[in-house]
Amino acid sequence: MNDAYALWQLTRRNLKIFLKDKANIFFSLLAPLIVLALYVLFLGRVQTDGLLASLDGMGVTGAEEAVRAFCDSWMLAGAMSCACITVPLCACNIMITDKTRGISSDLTVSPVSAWVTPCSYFLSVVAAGLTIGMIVLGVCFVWLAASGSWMLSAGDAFACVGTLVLSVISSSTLLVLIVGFFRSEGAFTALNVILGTVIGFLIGAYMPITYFPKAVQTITLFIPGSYTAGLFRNFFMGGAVENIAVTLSKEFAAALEQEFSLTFDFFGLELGIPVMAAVLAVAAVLFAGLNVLAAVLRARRT
Amino acid sequence: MQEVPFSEFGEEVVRAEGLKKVFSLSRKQQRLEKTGETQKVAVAGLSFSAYRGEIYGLLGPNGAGKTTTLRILSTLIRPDAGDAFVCGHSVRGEAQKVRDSIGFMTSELKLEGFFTPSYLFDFFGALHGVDKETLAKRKQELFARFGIDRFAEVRVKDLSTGMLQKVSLVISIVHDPAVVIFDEPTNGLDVLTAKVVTDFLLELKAMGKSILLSTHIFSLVEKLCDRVGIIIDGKMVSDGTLADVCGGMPLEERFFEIYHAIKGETV
Repeated sequence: MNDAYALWQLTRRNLKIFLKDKANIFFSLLAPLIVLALYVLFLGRVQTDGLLASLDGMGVTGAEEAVRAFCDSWMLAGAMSCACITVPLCACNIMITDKTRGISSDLTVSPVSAWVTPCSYFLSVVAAGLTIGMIVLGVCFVWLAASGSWMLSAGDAFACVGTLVLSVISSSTLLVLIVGFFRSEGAFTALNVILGTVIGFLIGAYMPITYFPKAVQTITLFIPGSYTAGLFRNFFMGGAVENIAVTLSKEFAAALEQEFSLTFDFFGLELGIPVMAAVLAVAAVLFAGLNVLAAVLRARRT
Repeated sequence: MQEVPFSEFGEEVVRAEGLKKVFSLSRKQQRLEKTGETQKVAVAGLSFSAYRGEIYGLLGPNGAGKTTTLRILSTLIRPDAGDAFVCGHSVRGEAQKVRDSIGFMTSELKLEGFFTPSYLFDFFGALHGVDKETLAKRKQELFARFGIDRFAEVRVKDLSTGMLQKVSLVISIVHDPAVVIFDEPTNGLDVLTAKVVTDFLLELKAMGKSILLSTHIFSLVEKLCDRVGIIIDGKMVSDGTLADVCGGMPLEERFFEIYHAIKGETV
């Protein structure tokens, strides 16, 4: 049996199941949609008014457009970061339903190598994350362009795509590892609800991480998703921050960079874009290795 | 690969030799089973043979080790000791070849609602490495034989329970296995669907397949099985043709006679 062909068939089947389940897709986008809803309802105004008041205090006026562009970019960076985690998580649902419905047994007794099925789950989770992620990214770009807040260079736009790919691979390796230990749909739903609820806070999508107590800020440094958010913020908001620096105040722009976590302070060490990308890549390799180890141990246990 | 022996029953297609499997019990399982033991012997040195073209039934109460035995034969779990051979291939050393030779079924419906029987047949066919030409021919033949052809492109969620069961069963033999292993074939099924399953098994036998099934239903063994093995506490306590095992008694009566003799308790 050609394992590569079986891998292709299984991955296609897993992806089809995810894409045909509209409710699952909706729930995978719930966290980004909540970010969007909160922003439209009040967060946008709160942030914009707060920043304008600060600028007023500095004697700077007429900064509405620049500040709105900054806040729009911040919100969309948060929504994208959430999507990179919640979409792969919901795509992991197939791993649980296959187990609980006994389909795993059918797959196991087919004459394909033991690595094919787990690998197909990972590939389909990545494919689902990239497919939906690209759509969400497209919507974000349209939003920025339509609202007049587009301040991204072509390089920023491509970097956003790169960040999406890296983040989806990184979060998928971690999520496939975690969900691999789950045996019931109830446990998976609980993880989905908990992660969907807290992820927006942990990666600073609802409010900047600097607003949280120091202990919480420290915890976020150890969550790979924080680095996804950091990268998206840099590419989405970089142009807007530069615009503020040029047209309004350099000091104010520098303060915004710090407050909205465009760089991370890792115990006194300032982490920029290359380090954030490296953290995601290392996390992906590490969790991929752990996935292989878990698969080998599972095979031995039976 | 071992040489496949012949006996008075014909060509031996399945042989279990001293199979043993011990499971660790979690605290929760210990509480449920009301035991302080940390391990449970599911199968304790089980040996038996099944032959080409026959239906062999493993009969026993819940927890006797029937499902564990079938899962070992299907290569879903590895035995702690002993070995089993399917069409001469060892479940320990030649798992992939064993998988080529078996179809594993349960009474559960394992079909995604929005796929069609045709898609699912092709999908599982591809997993089993069946080439496209053979697959198309086999689909036409099996779908016609079991009356699925008219529903081949209907979404699974729109099929009746009986038809769903047929689709599930036909998919399990997509690769034309020599041996069909069926864990509790009629468990939880209504009478109409159960009849679909039993008719299907008789049809498979007519097609020359060897069928291994587990059950705790006496009437099912009497209706379907050529030979039966009675398992209690993971041990094979009686094995042979129905006539040999029953010795002129009804199967149910004979089973409880053996059960009481071993367990020393009344039901």
